[in-house]
Amino acid sequence: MRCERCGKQIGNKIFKYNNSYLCPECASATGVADMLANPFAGVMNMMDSDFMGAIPPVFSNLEFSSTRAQIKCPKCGTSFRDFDNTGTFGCIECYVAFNDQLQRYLMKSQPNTDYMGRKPGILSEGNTWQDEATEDVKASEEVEAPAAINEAEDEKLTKYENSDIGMLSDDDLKEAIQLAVKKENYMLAARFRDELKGREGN
Amino acid sequence: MWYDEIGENNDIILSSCVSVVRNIRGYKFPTKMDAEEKEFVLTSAEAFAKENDMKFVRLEELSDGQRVEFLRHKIANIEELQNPSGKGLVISDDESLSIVVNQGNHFRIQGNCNGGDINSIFWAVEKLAVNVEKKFDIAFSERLGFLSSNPFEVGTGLRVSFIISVPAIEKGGVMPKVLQRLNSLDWKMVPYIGDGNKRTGNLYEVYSTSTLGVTEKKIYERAITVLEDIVKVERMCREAIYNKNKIIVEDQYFRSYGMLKYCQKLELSEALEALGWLRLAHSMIKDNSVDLDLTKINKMTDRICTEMKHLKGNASIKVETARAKQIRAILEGESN
Repeated sequence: MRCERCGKQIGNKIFKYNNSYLCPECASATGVADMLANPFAGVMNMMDSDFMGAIPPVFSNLEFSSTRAQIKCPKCGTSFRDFDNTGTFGCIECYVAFNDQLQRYLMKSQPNTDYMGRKPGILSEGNTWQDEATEDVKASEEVEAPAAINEAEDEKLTKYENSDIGMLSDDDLKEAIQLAVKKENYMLAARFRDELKGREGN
Repeated sequence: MWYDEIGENNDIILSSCVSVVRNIRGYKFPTKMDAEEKEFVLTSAEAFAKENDMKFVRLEELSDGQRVEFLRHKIANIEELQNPSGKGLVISDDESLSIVVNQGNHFRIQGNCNGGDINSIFWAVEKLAVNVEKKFDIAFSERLGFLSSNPFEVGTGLRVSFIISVPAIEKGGVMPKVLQRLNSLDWKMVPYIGDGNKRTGNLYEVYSTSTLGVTEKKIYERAITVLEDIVKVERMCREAIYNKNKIIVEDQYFRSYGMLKYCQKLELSEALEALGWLRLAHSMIKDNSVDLDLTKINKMTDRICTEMKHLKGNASIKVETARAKQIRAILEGESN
């Protein structure tokens, strides 16, 4: 845990006051330590001296001493305390202003803090919706013109067969295996498979 | 309309919802926006609706009846309708796709369907989201993904949720196992109606929580896993409970039916318990004297849930009689 006033790591001794956590140095600097050690001191003082001077220094010092409360978004004026209360940011700039705190929140609530989704305006690649759509197209083409597809596949397979097997990429090999199996050319498929396996071994 | 159809596994999964939040770059989020900025977002949403052959409405201009309809069909929720100023809705013809404008975020694109057939709506919502992203300059960061007003939705901004009714899982005592499984998939389960953690009835909402560090496809796959798991476990529990305590289940089934059919006043918890029994045993008990089908059970559950949300003072006699009356009307075969 870190001190909310100076931001240093807190050791064994933690002072908690008004929901803020302080390290011993800050606690004594703000008067919290004295206040907690002797809660009635302020009241005793009040009895001794006049009322105005009797307000314990703690209250005046600590009200806004919490650094979390002090950070404010420059654009929309949302403070971190506002965020704590409502759970929402006011504008995009808040993400910059509260970056450090946000990271901690995200670490707790998300599996990973790196964005892995798609870019705006582009459907994610390899989604089933697209796959299905293309498959549908394939299926319908097959019904309409099976010969054309067959020929194209044959051509592709011969191309793979005649090319230098070491020059093919892994993806090409995988595709070639599928094609060969489809054409029931198992000898060829086994050759591609062995090559792929050999590469994985390396 | 999507809500008139019977969906896949509709005896367990009442409805599914996929929602995506997006914001326009350069504008504050709706909580901090002034009227002028809200108006700009509304007008651009209206233009977008026109381009995409969708309907556009301003929530302030709706009548009370229309608002309740939207609530009933889960298109808008209660906060939006109670405080409608500056908010709008873009709806597709069959109302399965909609965009809520200026509630929390500039746009919340959502798709609803009855039952667990999320395959169709998930990609439809994504496609609509892509259209929105093409039309507007969307707030996006390479590191955090799509920025939203709620930082817990930052990333894909995508959330999948199901409303499920699982009487057998509850009665069979396997809830802890189910919760554990959901936890391991980063999903959460909360009671659908009732306050906080107090369980009322057997209705729950399960939803995905992770938006950062996962791809859209992963979220989709997990949704499918969750769905299949819940359906499988609930089916097994229903059968096990029925086979073990045949007479008790049958007794409860007919009692519940009788109670719902002839009651004059109906408490919420009572009603949900009875509906739970009907749901549990419905597919296994075949009896012609009971004129009941899944549509009716779902309709009753739905009616009770929406009422719960817009009627105030749930405990009063007046509400209880009104509830009983509505339930009786559905059982006797009301037209709408």
